[in-house]
Amino acid sequence: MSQRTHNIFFHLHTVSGISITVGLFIIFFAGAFTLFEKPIAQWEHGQYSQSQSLVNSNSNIDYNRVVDSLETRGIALYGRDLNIRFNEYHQAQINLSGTADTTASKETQKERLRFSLNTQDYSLTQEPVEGRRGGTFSLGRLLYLLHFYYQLDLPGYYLAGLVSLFFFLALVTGIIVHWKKISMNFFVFRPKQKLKTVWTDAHTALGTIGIPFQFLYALSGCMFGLGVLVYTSSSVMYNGEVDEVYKIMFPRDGKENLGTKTNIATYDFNAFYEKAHNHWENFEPTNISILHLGSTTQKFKAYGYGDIRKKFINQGEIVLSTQTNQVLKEISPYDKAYSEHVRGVLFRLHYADFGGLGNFGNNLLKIIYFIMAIITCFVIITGVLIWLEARNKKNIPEKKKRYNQRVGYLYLAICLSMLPITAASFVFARLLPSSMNNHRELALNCFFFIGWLVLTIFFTLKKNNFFTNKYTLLTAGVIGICIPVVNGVVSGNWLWLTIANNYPVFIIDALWICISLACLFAVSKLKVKSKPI
Amino acid sequence: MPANTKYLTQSKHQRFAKVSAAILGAFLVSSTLHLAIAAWVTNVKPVLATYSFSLFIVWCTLMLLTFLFKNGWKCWLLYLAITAVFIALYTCGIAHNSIPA
Repeated sequence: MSQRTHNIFFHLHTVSGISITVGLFIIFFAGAFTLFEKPIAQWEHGQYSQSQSLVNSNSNIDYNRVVDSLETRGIALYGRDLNIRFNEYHQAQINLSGTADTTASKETQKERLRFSLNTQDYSLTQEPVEGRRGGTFSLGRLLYLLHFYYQLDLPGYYLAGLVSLFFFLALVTGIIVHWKKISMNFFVFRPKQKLKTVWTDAHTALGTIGIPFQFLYALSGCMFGLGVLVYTSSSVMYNGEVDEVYKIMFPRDGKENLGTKTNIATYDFNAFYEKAHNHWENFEPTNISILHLGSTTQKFKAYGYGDIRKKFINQGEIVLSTQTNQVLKEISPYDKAYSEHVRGVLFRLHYADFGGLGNFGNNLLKIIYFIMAIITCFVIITGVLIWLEARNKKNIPEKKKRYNQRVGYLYLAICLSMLPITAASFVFARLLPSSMNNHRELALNCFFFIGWLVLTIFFTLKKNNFFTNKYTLLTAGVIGICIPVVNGVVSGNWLWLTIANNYPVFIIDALWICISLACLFAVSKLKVKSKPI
Repeated sequence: MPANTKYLTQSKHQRFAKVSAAILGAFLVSSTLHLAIAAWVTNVKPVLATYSFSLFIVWCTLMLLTFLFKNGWKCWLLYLAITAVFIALYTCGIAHNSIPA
């Protein structure tokens, strides 16, 4: 590679990297915790009970009793669509759509209802329908939204896509620039040398180890955040109708006119469930719908998964007619076209949701992803430090130097203070009583974002990167150790109890103990080696 | 260690030409390439599925190549020429095969 090419790519690497530093750090840091979004929600709301292995599979639900319970509640079911699935708290959740009966009143046509189902006695508790997923807000949800800046709504989502695009650019130029040094310097780690070589070695070595992981996230991040470009540009073929493209890529069932009323009590929905369940080998329905309830066009729909060990993309769907007991539509979990795989693989890899390794194995997989994400955060931070150090030279004008330093203070303050504020938010979320659930979103957002802002301002004004580094790690370590204790005191979910029967809660506590120990260990090793910058 | 500035673009309008060509020009080439292919196949779905990720791979590769040009405007010219060819191929394809479904 010529000198010119090398320098051009090197400059591209620097510019694209520096410009997205903070954005990318937030994405990876929040994303690392988002891997455990559901466990965090369970951890945050959990109360200790002896029998936490409740009925949490669709197979154990008596669908006839569900319909019975809804009828005895006095809800007019005719023409509505019923959906039953388990949410992240392992509660069976029932959604009812408005009726398709056009002769009914406008209200019943629009009225959506949501209930949580007690799987012991089939009693129903009505819940608010707002929100895509329902359920109460949690810190996991906050971090999930922060992962693509969704606090800013759609512009935030597109911004995250743009950050991914520049990350892609930084990644590829990084590989090109460091390619020759990879084999030579891979085992070179010179911690006793001056600071810049330490960071350069760490940046290159860890960056190289992370390439496959980071490439996956750069590309899938673009696919998510900038996917809109694909659909809008291909709509050219359909005279600019984006909906046409969506129809081809994600075909939906057409709407059918509602049939006449029938007696809903005459159907045995459990038999339909059994039929759907046994349609393919090892098919586990996770989402059951009964469409057009109590009519001649009533259909039983089961969406679920086949054996993931047999097929990586294993979603399946079957629709049965309850009148004729015939299969109206089926998507086999074991046989799919190439185009179905593309999106499937995207989700599987991005969410670290594959392998079918069982409870322990799949959590271990997520922990590996978590560690890789934190390593990426580290590569981002070392990148900034190298950038700073390389510009801390005599030939750089004093004014420029001071500007660079101030940028460095700000970047590091924003990025590193995320760690203690996240730890503190876990404590805050656990202490927030459930009586405040209606204001939970506001309370968590205020605590997290205002706290983050205050810390950022404090560390920026302190103008000492060594100080920022040491005290963010120290406070995160100390607060992190308190997290399992607070959880134990508040809910009785002590580590030694949850390890036996409540894995998700255990994972969060254990994760924080490990993070804290790592932070405190790092603090104990921190020494001012050279003049802190 | 910062990149040696003697190899980097100094003039402002050249820099503008290169950055705009890298972002907009490269995108045009990448998207019209895929659309031209989509116009000539009978089953458009796999092409669009591939497009959903290869758009970014081709886009990024071209972005890098853009900065190797000495003259950013020439690069723009080249990208526009390639885009024109793909648009022509696309138009012929649509006319020849009728709109794919």
